[in-house]
Amino acid sequence: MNLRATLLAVLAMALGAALTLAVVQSRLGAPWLSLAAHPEVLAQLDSSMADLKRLAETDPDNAAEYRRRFAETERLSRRLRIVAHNRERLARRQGWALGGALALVLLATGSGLVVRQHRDQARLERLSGALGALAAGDTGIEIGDRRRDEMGTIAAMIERASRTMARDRRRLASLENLSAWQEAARRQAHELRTPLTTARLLLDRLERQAPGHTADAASMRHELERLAGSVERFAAFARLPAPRPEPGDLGELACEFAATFAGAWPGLTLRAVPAVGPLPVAVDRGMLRQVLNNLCANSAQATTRADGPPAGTVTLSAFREGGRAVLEVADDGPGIAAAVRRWLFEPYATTRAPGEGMGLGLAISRKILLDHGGELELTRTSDAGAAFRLLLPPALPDARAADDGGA
Amino acid sequence: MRRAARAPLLTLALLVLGSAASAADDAQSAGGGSEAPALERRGARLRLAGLPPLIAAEEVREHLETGLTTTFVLEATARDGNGRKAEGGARAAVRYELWDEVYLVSTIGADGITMRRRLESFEQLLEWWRGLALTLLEAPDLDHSGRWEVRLALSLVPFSQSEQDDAQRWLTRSLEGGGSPATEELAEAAEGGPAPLRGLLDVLAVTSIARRSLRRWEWRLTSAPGGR
Repeated sequence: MNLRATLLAVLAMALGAALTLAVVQSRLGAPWLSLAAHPEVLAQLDSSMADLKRLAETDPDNAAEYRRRFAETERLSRRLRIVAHNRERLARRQGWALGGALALVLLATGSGLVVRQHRDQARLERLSGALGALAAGDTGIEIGDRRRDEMGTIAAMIERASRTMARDRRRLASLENLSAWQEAARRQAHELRTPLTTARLLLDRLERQAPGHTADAASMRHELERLAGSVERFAAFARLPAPRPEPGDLGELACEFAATFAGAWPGLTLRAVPAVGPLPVAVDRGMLRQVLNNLCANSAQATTRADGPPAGTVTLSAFREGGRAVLEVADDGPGIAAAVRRWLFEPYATTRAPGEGMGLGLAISRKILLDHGGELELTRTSDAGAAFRLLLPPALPDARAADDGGA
Repeated sequence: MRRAARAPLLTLALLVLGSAASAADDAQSAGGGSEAPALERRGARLRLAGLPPLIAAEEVREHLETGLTTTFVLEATARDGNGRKAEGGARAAVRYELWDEVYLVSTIGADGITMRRRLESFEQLLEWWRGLALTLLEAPDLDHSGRWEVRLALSLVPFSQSEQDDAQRWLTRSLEGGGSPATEELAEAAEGGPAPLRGLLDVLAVTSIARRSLRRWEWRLTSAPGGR
């Protein structure tokens, strides 16, 4: 409703109210005055006074009392006659007073409507601008309209859409980045496999021709096997398959993992906090286990002391947040350094010593979550530990959707 | 001396009263039948020397016997042959005492002289009225030797100021929810009701109850020096 329509509505209200007032005033306002000062009432009072005078004559002992009552009646009679004399004026003033009060109410209401109209107009303009920005691809939209009405709801939806767009863009960028890394890994694995095979064959021939160099040959074979392992990890990263989601309950899956892998990392305690309610998800169980394995292995390494085995606790908590199923994996290790956080999910990014890891675990884990339509996030880190969150949509429609997402 | 100083103030008060009365919607500009008031001139002083029997008219008489104080306001405007003008007035009040069935009358002239009387019957009241003598104006600036054109107006105001005040208070209390004779004192003591509403009702009552003349008569007369 624009300003003109509001003013017309207020005008119509004013006319309606004035008409109602006129009817009420003519039917209810003025008549009570006429009734109070009706000639019959005055005649009755006159009659009453005459009676009192006669009573005083016939009952002189109580004459003073009759006189007092006479004076009261006379006073009332005088007042009613004065009211009768001013009846029309009183009715008119009463109408004015009611009209004035009505006008004030209408003025206040009209002003309120106009102010509200202006405010809503401004809000609409902000919404329109935000929608335009959203259509233009802006993802950092903050409207700041927190009212609980339709426009506030629309503003929240626009902001949410903006955030979703931003997340999807980040996800797309990550997937593109990971795809590039996967392609590089595939090429590296392919390029390394041939010389590795040749080196193995040559080593076999050398061992047969020079059996006296057993120790050197074993050392060389050990190094070649390490290289072969790296090539296989490259290949595995390059061949990361599409998930095959199955229905399951995230809380139950977390408990199952904690029970199955309770002794997998000596000194590391796995604890699963039962979910409050069901958390149905569609997830590839093997891949979920792979992600949890990676995270727990990282926690085990982080909690390992120089003089002994790991000594820490990993807590798995499943819950629902913002319509998504969340599995939080939190350890009580030393946390993740600020410098590392920027490239934490990048492939080949590692804090381990050369030869101890290739830095593909978190990259693969995130890729798995992205392929599920979810996300892997580092939610908090401090001296008291680090926590990752696996965010999963409540369910995937079918396996093909997951395939498409992973393509 | 004191009387001379008081006279202008009285004249002013009477004029104000007369102005209020003249604002009446139903004021009439008709003469009071075939008879006209009698005037006397003594030097600079113009006096009323008698009025036509207007109070015998049914519409006036029935009002006289309501118990309210009926006020008759006289307004006089005199012009001499040179066009100079002087204004003045007088007032007469009549209240019928319903218990004793007597008329209590009082008058005040432009010279400040007041008079109160108790009249036992309407006949006595009529006689008093016909011979009512009141100073209407003192005009030392006018030409005493020539004739004066006098415009005399008589207004009938149905109740007195104190009766008006009493009715206003009573109406205010009635509108506020009190008002019966038995509860008046309580209401007066409690001053009940929300203040803004009470204030609005007060304004409504005070501005609505007003003294307006019921009838008005006017005459154009000529006054000669030393005579009627």
